[in-house]
Amino acid sequence: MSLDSRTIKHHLSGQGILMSIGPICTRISIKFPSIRDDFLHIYKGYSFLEGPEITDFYLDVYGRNFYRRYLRPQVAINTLMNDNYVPLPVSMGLLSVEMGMNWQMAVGCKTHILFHAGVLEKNGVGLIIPAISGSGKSTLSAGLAYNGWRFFSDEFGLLDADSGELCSYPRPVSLKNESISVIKEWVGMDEPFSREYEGTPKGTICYLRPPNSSIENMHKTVQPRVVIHPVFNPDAKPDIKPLTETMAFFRLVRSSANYGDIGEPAFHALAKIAKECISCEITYSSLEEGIQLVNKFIDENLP
Amino acid sequence: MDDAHIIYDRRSGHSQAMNNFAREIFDIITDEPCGLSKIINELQGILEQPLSDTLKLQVERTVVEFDKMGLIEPMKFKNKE
Repeated sequence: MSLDSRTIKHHLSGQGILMSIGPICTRISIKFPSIRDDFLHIYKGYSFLEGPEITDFYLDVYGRNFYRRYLRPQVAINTLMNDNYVPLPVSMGLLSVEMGMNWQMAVGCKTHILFHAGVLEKNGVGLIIPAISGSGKSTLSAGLAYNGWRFFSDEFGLLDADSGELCSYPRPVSLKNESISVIKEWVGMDEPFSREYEGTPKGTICYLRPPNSSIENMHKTVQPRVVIHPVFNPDAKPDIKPLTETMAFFRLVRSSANYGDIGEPAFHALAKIAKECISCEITYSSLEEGIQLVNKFIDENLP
Repeated sequence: MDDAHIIYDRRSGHSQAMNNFAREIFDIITDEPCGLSKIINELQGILEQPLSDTLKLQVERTVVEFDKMGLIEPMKFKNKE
């Protein structure tokens, strides 16, 4: 049963509300009204629950003391994971929320094999886009999501080791600096974007809500079929470099945040992907070119 | 895999890649604990010809690499080979 916005705000400002995204359930409470508004805008259409539910993670966004809630207000977060974050100004509160949730996934997720990767699906084809920061992974994922692909994630690819299927975890896309205007032009409407947060350690950050269809279908899994490692270089010529199975395997290991924690089941799951999926590295100089290369590689190589 | 063998070490949680030559040596060691001379004898049996000095050196280097990776450990033999 969906909750009305008043009930959601009430719980969000108090003991917390449960937010279910794919297989992950997080209890969130936010004590600052302006951050609640930013949060509810970017998470519009997501599934909020009153409970009881099995909760994976916990996030409390609060002011350290009474004065810090009103005088030069600062945001602190508590994730119950012995963390000690540098407080941010309340104007950057949504960043604290997103960073807190990212931290918990990166450090605390042991139920799924976790890739630092974008994940999408089209016509039953699961696509993994593993990459380090700055390679254009989020921009390419967002571009594909608003070009007919179902968005699973731009940051945390989740693989069920038992079934070998990818699980959707469609959190908002974190866009940085130049990619913000590129994707705003690509999407063609302002509504799914957050406001822009300037002066962060990574420059300007703006969040993009995934398409509604991706949020509505967040519980549908897909079999991985394609792995594409993107390299963004504004001066480079477009290129597709196929990877051997061994290279594909070790690159997947490198992109997994919890391979060592999951152990042998992760080894078998990643070996299966390396053996059964088609894998390549693409070099591209613009979003349009990146999407063309993705489609070209899939069209020419997927049986 | 298409171009290499990948093994998973349950003790360390690490994955290692090896070519056909290394895999053959690893299989010999896995069958029964043994020293360099036995590995060379076994390989000569498989290849049906004596190993060149270069290949013997390669066997030694491969065993050293296994040791570095933590895949093998030294042991005492009751009988001299």
